[in-house]
Amino acid sequence: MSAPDANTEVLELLELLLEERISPEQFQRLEQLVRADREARRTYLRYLDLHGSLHWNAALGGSKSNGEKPTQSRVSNDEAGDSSKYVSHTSPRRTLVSSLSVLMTVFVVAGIWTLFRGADHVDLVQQERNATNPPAVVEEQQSPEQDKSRSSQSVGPIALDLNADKVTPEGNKSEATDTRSVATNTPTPNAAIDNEKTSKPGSNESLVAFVNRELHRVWEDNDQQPASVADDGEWVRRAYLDVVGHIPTAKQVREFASDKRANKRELLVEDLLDGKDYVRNWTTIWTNLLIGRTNPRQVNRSSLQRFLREAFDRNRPWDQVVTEIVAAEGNTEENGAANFLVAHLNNQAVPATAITAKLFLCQQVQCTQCHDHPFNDLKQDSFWSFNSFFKDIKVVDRPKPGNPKVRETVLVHNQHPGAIYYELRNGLMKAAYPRYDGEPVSTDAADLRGELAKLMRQGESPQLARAFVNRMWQYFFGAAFTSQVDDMGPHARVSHPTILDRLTREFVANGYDVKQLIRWIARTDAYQLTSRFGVGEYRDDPSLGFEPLFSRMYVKRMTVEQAFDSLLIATDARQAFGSNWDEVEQRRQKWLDQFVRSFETDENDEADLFDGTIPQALMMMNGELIQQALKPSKGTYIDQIIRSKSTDDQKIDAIAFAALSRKPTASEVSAVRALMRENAAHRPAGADRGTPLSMALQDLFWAYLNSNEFILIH
Amino acid sequence: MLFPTPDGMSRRHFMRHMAAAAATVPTMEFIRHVQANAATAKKNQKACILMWMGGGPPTIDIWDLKPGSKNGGEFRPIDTAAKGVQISEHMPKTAAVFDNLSIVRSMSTREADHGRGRYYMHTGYVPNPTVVHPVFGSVIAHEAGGKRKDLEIPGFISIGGGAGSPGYLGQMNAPFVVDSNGRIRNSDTGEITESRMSQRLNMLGVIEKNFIDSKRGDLPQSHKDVYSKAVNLMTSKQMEAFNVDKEDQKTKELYGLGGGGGGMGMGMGANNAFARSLLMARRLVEVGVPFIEVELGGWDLHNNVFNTLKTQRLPVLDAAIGGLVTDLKQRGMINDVTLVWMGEFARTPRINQDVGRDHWAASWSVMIGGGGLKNGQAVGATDADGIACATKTYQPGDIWATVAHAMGIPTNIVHTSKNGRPMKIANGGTPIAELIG
Repeated sequence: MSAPDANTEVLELLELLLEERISPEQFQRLEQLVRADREARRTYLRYLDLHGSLHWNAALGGSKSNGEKPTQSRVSNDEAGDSSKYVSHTSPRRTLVSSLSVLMTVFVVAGIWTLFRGADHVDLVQQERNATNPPAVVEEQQSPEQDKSRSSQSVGPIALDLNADKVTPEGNKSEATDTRSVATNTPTPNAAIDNEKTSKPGSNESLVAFVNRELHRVWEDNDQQPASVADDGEWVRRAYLDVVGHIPTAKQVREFASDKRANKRELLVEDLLDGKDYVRNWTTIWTNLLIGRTNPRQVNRSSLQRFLREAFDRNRPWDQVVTEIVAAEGNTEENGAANFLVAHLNNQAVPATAITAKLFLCQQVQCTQCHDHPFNDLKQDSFWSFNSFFKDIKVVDRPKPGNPKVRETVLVHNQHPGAIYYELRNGLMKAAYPRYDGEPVSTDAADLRGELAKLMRQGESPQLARAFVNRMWQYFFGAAFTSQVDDMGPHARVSHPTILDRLTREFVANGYDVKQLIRWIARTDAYQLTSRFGVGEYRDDPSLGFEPLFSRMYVKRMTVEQAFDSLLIATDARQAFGSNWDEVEQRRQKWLDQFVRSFETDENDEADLFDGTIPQALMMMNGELIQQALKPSKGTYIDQIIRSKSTDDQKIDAIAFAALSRKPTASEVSAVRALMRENAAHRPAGADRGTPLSMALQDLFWAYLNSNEFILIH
Repeated sequence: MLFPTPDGMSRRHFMRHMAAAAATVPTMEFIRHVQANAATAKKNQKACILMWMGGGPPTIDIWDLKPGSKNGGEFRPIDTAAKGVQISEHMPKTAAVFDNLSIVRSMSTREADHGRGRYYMHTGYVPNPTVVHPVFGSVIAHEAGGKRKDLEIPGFISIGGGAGSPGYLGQMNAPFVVDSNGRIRNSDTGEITESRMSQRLNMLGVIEKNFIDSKRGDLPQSHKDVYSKAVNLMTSKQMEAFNVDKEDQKTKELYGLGGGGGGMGMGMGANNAFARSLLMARRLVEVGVPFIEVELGGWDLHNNVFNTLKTQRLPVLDAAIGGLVTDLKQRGMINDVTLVWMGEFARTPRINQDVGRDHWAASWSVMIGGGGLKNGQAVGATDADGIACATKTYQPGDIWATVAHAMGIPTNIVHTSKNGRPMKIANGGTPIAELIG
């Protein structure tokens, strides 16, 4: 049998195993293949590693719920019976298959493990991992198998492959050794920046040094050479987009480039954090997260924005902000924070429950509404216990007291029903009471949701803080520590547990200081790197399903707001709109409405139609905003450039800096010159009139603004 | 760019497609390209129209009624043109053409959350953090659309719906999302002449190449590909397919559109958007688009379910489906166009205290029809109260495998995900035996 065939067969069998469709015979066959063939072993390890604990917990969940407690097994049988054909065989057999697969995989992985890896390394990673995955909403019930299973998955796919190749007795592959020897030449990146650390007030040297050390350790462990440090133009553009939500002006780019101070990157971040666009950017980001881009009914968007604006402007502690949102009451106009719950309190507060967990705790609980979580220990009961915190309020639409002609939407206190009843899959009803992370709260509590918020921020490293750190990291790097930013459940693998853990603790210790967290992140070595691949670095790409190493900056797409604001900056069109916040906001809102569509569900979820789509391309090519900006009418940026007294080359430079924060390349300059010659030779008529140069500059500007380099954050 | 593992046919195919696109646009010749490819009707090309019921429709009140059960609700079943098959009394026009349609009554899917259910039903796969699966429209665009050389507009068009991801099949197979009014925003170059536009596109090519060559992953190339598609579209006569107003009055009336003086203008209520979208879908099939998704939302009926169905949702649904089937029959297209009707899940058999139904995925129905299938049947069944399947159950993969079969796309095709895993189309589902005969 040829190798690819065997490999395909292994993959197919693994797929069956994963989906619990595998028969005992097929399982034997898989065991045979894996034992017999080195390539199959590699595939097997890689595959399991990719799936990580998802797979494991799925198998364990199945066998566990058929345990001794009659009620539990009843629920699980129902689930098996009505969910799908893949799990519809009788439960004893399912248990057998699951346990078999667990035991077998533990055996094989553990076996290969001891063969291939030094035990101490595994332990190190494992300890960290356990330490950083505390149960958040649930009590963990760990079986011995589970402990074992977890200990066998704590290494990245790449390291595993390389090591497997190296140590397998019959596989002394020379190229594997070569890879290793090339990679060990990894230089320490940006030593310059390391040396530049000053003891600025508020900066935390040892923390940044720790994060950098851990980043470097992971690069070394994975034989991953980091990319080189980004040049000023690339870095300044990225820092502006990430911190204040739009590109820098040509002038700002040039000023930064000519700044000779050693710690200028740090200083720039400081400046950006102090500006009003920082406030605007983070208000936009959190408005979208809290209520979406399509405005839910009864929600007062601008009032919520006012609340957030004030919070980010004063850099209010994140736990306070969340507390005000979660515990909000009152009029939506007067208390902006109330709008979050007004948007999600429909349908027995089920959306409010799921979205609160997802946004503030990065936990996916919505499927536990109807059944126990398939992949982790979240129980249906924990969903409804969490849900019952939101049962002491309701949304009321009423005439305003004192001014009956005006209506107001108010979040008012409501008698808590005491118990919440939910339906088990077998049709039985069960009661739930307010409980968070195992701690019950009396329904008589005067401020039930205030109590919830208190519990959410309890401890040195509460999930509330971990979740925010994970989100913030993902926002700056385009990849979170977990494969999905808002799924940090017990099953989710953390790529850099030590970093997440340390940042979380320090974030809490620093009083949930949002700006401070941004400073730390922006100062890490990883944030200084270019987005270009270096030599042999193609593996570090989360979009291919690999765990991120942050050995280069991943390219991100601009959001629709970033694109709009950046177009205004590049074309200097902001003046035309006036400096009035609400007016610009309204124009932006109108512009982006064309790219959002609501799914009209109880959760108010929506589709973003901007990212890399044809409508986006059409808008950038032909849209009104671009057409206006490119007209050489008085006041536009292009008009200023055309009329200026600079040389042709300087004019071309000015356009390149405005759009892409860099000098034009040689090929771009020669393309513009060719265009000028052509324009001079065939003078077009009608609306296209202009000098050969002005027309060529317009075309160049159009092309820059339409380029991949403009719309991608790199 | 290199990949750690050899990728399968999807990537090769993707590259080939890209090369073809790069050769045609953008160049100075781009306007001649338009004249060379005038729209031609291709009535016998296979296609699929997905009617997506966003929010999760109560199929127990539409396709699988339970008279006599406590879960039965307010509606009565009526006979249809298919012998022995009964559907809701509020679907009379659909009932009249039901010999061209079928119901699969024993769907059992495990996802009762909107996002997860939408993903599962569209892709056939449950969400998985290590891979993004393509929605089935993207699979069809990849398998069928890519082979239709005369097709200048995207092979997957979504009318009034959400986007859905092309996953590992790449942005070339992403849905093109349009409104039911058929106006494609910004598709006109305005004051910019065609020759000027092609100069700009040439310039853009120079800049984009620099950035792609600087090696930063897939996104820069993907951006360029989308622009090629957008330019193709701007210059295509096939864009007329979006203009439903070009249809004659009689056809519009079939769909319940254009009554009272033939005014198709501003007075149109939102209720007609669905019918209009289905008519647009038929026009798109005629120019060769292999997959069109049409959304009808508003099914998340946690309260007041019967009133809303009776007065709003079902009349809209019924008229549009009846019109579409009749139209396809009259044009001799019914055996080439497969129709699928589904939502992310259905709704609880139990009626809640707000006279609503909540999310339910354990036992529900999907409607499928046309496409040369053996229609006029109800496949599978639920029990007397509708709370469990009484027969063999089906998953979305089986529905999509049936669609692939009807469209002549082999069901044993395997794509390769970005991390090198083989992915069977439709998650290895099996065409439903009763339907393919």
